[in-house]
Amino acid sequence: MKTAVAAPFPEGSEVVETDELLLTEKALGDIVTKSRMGAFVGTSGTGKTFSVRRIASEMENLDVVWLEFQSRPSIVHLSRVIYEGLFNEPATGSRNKLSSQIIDGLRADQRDRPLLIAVDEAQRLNTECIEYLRYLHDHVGTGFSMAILGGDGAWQVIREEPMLLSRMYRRVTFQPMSNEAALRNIRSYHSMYEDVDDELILDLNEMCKGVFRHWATVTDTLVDLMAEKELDKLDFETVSLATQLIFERE
Amino acid sequence: MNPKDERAPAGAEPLAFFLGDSPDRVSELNSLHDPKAGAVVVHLAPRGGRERLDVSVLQAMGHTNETSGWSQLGAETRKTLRHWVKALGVRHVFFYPAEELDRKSLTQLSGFESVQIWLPTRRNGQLAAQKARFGAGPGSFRTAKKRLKQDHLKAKENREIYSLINNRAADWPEDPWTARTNVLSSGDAITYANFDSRWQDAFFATQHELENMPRWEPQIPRWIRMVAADRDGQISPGAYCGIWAAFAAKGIELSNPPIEVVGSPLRSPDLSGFEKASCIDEALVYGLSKAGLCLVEIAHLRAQQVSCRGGVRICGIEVAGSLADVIETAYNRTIDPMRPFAWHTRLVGELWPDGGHMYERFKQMYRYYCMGYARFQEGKITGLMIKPGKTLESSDEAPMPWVHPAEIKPDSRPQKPLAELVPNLPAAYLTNPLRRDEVQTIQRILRQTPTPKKMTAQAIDERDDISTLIERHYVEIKGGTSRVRSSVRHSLGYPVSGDIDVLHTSMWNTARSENGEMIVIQQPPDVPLEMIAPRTRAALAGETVQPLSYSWSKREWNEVAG
Repeated sequence: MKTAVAAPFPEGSEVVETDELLLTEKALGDIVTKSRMGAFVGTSGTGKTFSVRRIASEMENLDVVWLEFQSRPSIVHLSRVIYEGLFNEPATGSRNKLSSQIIDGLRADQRDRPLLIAVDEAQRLNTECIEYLRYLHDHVGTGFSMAILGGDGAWQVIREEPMLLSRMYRRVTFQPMSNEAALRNIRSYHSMYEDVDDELILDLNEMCKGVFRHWATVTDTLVDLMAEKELDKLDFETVSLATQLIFERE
Repeated sequence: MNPKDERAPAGAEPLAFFLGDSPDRVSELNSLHDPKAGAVVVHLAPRGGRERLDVSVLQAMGHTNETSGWSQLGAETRKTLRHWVKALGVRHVFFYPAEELDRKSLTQLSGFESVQIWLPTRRNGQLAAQKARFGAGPGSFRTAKKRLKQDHLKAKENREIYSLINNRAADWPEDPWTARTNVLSSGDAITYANFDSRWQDAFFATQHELENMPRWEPQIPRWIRMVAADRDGQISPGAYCGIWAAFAAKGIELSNPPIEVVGSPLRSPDLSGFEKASCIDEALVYGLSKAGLCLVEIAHLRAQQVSCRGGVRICGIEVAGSLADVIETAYNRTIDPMRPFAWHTRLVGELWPDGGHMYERFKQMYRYYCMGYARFQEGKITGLMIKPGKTLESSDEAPMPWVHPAEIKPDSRPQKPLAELVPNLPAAYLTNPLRRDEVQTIQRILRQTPTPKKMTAQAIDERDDISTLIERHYVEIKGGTSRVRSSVRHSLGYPVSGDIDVLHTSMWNTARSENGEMIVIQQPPDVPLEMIAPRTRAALAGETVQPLSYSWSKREWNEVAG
């Protein structure tokens, strides 16, 4: 069990060591060690970005550059985003010039620490962009690992691009929590759930559709409401109010 | 196997083959990439159009815009690439995927005449089309690997020389071509200064003598020893690389030469009464010649190769007797510092009170001075010119008479005058003696100059010769070398050998001393016989010539020398 508290998460919450988190830890370690590519895909809100960020931040001696693109970007846009991510300064110049500078910036022999490039929302990429990423990764001078993260459709994009699919060294699929997984994980997520009935957890999981991001919203709301009411333990009314504030009424 | 696959790389047509797109195949292709072994794998950007293929190749060879510094100008970059291709002995270049290669960009590459271009394609269906587009012959991945293996062995063999000389192999540069740049890129300023100082002296000395060297091979071991040895007898990596570069610039591969150890101690001729000589140089040159050194070796002897502590040694060779006294006297004399370019005033730097190599440092300071300036301008100055014929004596044009202001193009970045970058650089340094406080100023300036890594940016892309990885205008004191040569030639006008006198001599076309390594005296070209010294004329006529005495007066010298 991870004991550290995740900053963006509700007060009192802890990082839950889900199967996906453990797989991410293993997969990310592998691709960083071998400078390979890995895919972290699945339903939105199931913790892909959080898991990769979390694990990457805990890895020592690793530089991480996060990239996120507009939908179906051009190669020029892609190269600018990469440049700005790498150098933390506005990108100017032609695509070829940017490419040249990016290659320089990605050189393994110019870096003190290994580099992980994390591409978020990869479902937005088109064939040209994927080809460009492959080119950067294959280049003899460069040496970095790449994590490709994406929600619905991301794996579809990867699967349709053989040159990218064949380079995927690790793949972790994130899925909504099943009821069994919710019962196993949620009590560890926050102390307020430790003594509640299984039925309540199952009801909430149904409303959250097993999506962790929804669980975080519910928990954050409950923390606030309990503070307002000065409650030590969850009660039915508070949970009911929280769900009404968050979920669409049937 | 197709017979074409076995052709020599020189002038060979491109060879195309299907590689595929799988990571394993690409990884296998990348494993062939070893620029120092002559193989470069260039990955082409998708839909790059007419991308800067020269830049792509340079990047693949490990050079970055930031550290190796090539101009954004196409012609300059292509020149830089041509130099590196030659310098590293690149023989195989793979452009992958060939589908992305632009034919026009490929034809614009220069210096690839001896390079085998390989065109691996990503898709099998594209192979025929690419063959037709580039006029490529059929190749195969297997053939490529086989060729590379053969060539790699040759390259490895060539590099083994470094471990054969000296016992300090760890300090030895891996590649003499790139050693100077490597030191520039990775060493500190003083390390580079010391390395480059030896490199340049050895380079120019060798280059100068090579011009008149019909049969160089027998003399190489000794030449390397005498030019590249430090005062402790160790071969200086910088000097050796300079010699290597001078040979290579002439198209001679200095491969695996033995390094001759001169007999120790040197013979000690009788030089009693040397103090009566009109000039200590006469006794010095005479004595060294009698001891067995060639005139050319004497001419290129440097103060850094002389040690007078705990006995006198030259290049680590012990010297005894009155010759040692002469050397010590010469070494410790007061030199006229207004003659900084005469060969023997190279001793000057060693004689300053701090015991450092101030003359060499001074030269380095000037180099850094120029390079730092160029770097400071972020490579925007295309016309950092040094006026032809200007020398460091041009003290009336302070502070930087060698820059044409009109050549400096406007830059959006603020430009500092050179005087601000290196403050208070008195042009008087150029001709006046260095004082202690000035020495400290030089050291301060050296500390203030940019790091060597940054200096490379502008310095390298202006070079105009394969042997000068740093453009010579930046690193050479204009006119200095020719003055040294002139002085050397002048000094060699003295009769110095015990057998014959020597006029306009050089190691390669004249001399055979009593030690056997020199002297076949020849009439210098374009010199009328009557202008040659009587003793030389007699020697040319086959007459027996009595040995000269070093202690003749200047007037007597002049009489004999005609």
